[in-house]
Amino acid sequence: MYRFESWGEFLAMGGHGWFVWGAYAASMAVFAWLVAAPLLRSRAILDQVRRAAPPPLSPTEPEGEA
Amino acid sequence: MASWPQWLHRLGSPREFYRLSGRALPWLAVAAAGVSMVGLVWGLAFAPPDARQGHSFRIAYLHVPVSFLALAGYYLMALAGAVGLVWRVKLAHMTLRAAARVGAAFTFVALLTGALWGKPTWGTYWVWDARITSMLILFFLYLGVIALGQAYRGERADRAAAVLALVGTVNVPIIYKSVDWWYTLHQPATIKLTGTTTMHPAMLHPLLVCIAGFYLFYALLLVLHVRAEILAGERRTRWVRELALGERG
Amino acid sequence: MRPADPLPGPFAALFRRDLALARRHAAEAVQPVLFFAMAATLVPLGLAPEPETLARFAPGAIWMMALLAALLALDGLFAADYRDGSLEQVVSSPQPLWLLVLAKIFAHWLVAGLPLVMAAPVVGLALHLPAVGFAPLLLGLAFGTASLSALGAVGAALTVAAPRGGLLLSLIAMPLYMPVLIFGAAAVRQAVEGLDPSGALAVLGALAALFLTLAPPAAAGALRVALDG
Repeated sequence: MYRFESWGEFLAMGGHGWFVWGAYAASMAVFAWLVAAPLLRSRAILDQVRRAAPPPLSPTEPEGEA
Repeated sequence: MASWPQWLHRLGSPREFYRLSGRALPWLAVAAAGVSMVGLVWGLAFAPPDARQGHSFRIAYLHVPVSFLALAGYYLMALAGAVGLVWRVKLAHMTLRAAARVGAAFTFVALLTGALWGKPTWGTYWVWDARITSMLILFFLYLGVIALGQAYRGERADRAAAVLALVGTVNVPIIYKSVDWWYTLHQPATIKLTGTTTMHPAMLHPLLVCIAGFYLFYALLLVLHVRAEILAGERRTRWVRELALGERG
Repeated sequence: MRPADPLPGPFAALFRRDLALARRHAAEAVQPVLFFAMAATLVPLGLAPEPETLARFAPGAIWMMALLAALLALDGLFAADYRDGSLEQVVSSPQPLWLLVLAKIFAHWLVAGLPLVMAAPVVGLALHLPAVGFAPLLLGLAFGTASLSALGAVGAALTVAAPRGGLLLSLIAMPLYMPVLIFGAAAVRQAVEGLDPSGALAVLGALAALFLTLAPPAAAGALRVALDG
């Protein structure tokens, strides 16, 4: 640590630790959700399509639109 | 539209965008994570503390880029809406929906980090300061676009949300100006967070890295959300079916 | 069309039709003003009945209540026409739609906005607004309600075909209303504090001109989108 003597000081942030680390933790939670939500949604859609699709016996056969 | 460059025309097709963005995605993810991590660690651990605010200033390395992108994202959303309205590009409407969601989340983070920065700096979580109030109204504007997009179904929802986003674009500068003016009316501008005072290079440089990193991160999130929108919108098409079947086969 | 008509054409026809409809449903047209009066009654009940306290908050309170009343009145701008199918005819008519929308905005302002302006002095008296505040209040509300009708037309058009669009309309229109509230309330407060309110009033006039220019085409586009389904 360049600016801090120890890990304890780094976590304390000069007495503002709760605010600094709270801000970072809350933001990271939102960002994690922002990354995970579309990935989970994509996977759910693909799963749903796979279940609805007929078994892939003849992949060359053209499929009609719903 | 025949005069459009072919690559642009092809990129406008959801399927082609999904394919190309899938290839770019790992690179974008590595760049976004790398640059923003460097910037944030630099800001958190290596930049000097602010002379007056001490270590609570380190929230700025998060708050400033996110606030910046929250506003810029509104214009990007409105631009996507305009493209969608004029040329009836499906991908543009999907971009609008993705940008609305990411932008609302960024605005929320900006408000949250602002509140957590405000407590040690001003002694209170919430101040009706010009920037905070404008950011709150921006949050409402985003929520309005999202809500309107969910009030209708199909193309009508897309076009209605696009019109509202464009109307908001005209209003955003008016809102910002009026809130600024309102604030000077009530408070002499004594408390300024990041005023016109020049920032020390040792603090400015990590901030610039953070801004670049969050630009990349925003782009990554936008692409991810657009890809989910594409799958949702094209779930009945053959290419999505092939994609779904091919993924684990 | 009578030859002596000062306002010829489809604009006047629609304008007059809306006014005639409003006259027939006069009881409904009174409702925004009633809401304004009742909401203003909440101010002394919620804050304090002392004249000094009320006088201090009157400029902002009157404007806030007028804004909410205007917001609630918006629902009637297109919704009734949508339900009885006449909006469909207006949109599909060969006339320029923005002109027809402008006619509806003007009629709506006369029916819903102007009564609020006229009721404002009474509310001002009741809330002990200092005498110097009345002129900027009336002028500001006259400009302001025009802005609100114009901006609100876009929101009303966007939500007209949405199920349960009433609350949604308020949610999307309210952020757009905030600049008008800022300058309107500030003009009255400046006058009360002995400052010159003409700057804020000029901005309100400019906003009204801007919104009355930009809103009709935007609302026309929004109507086309909403009725497209």
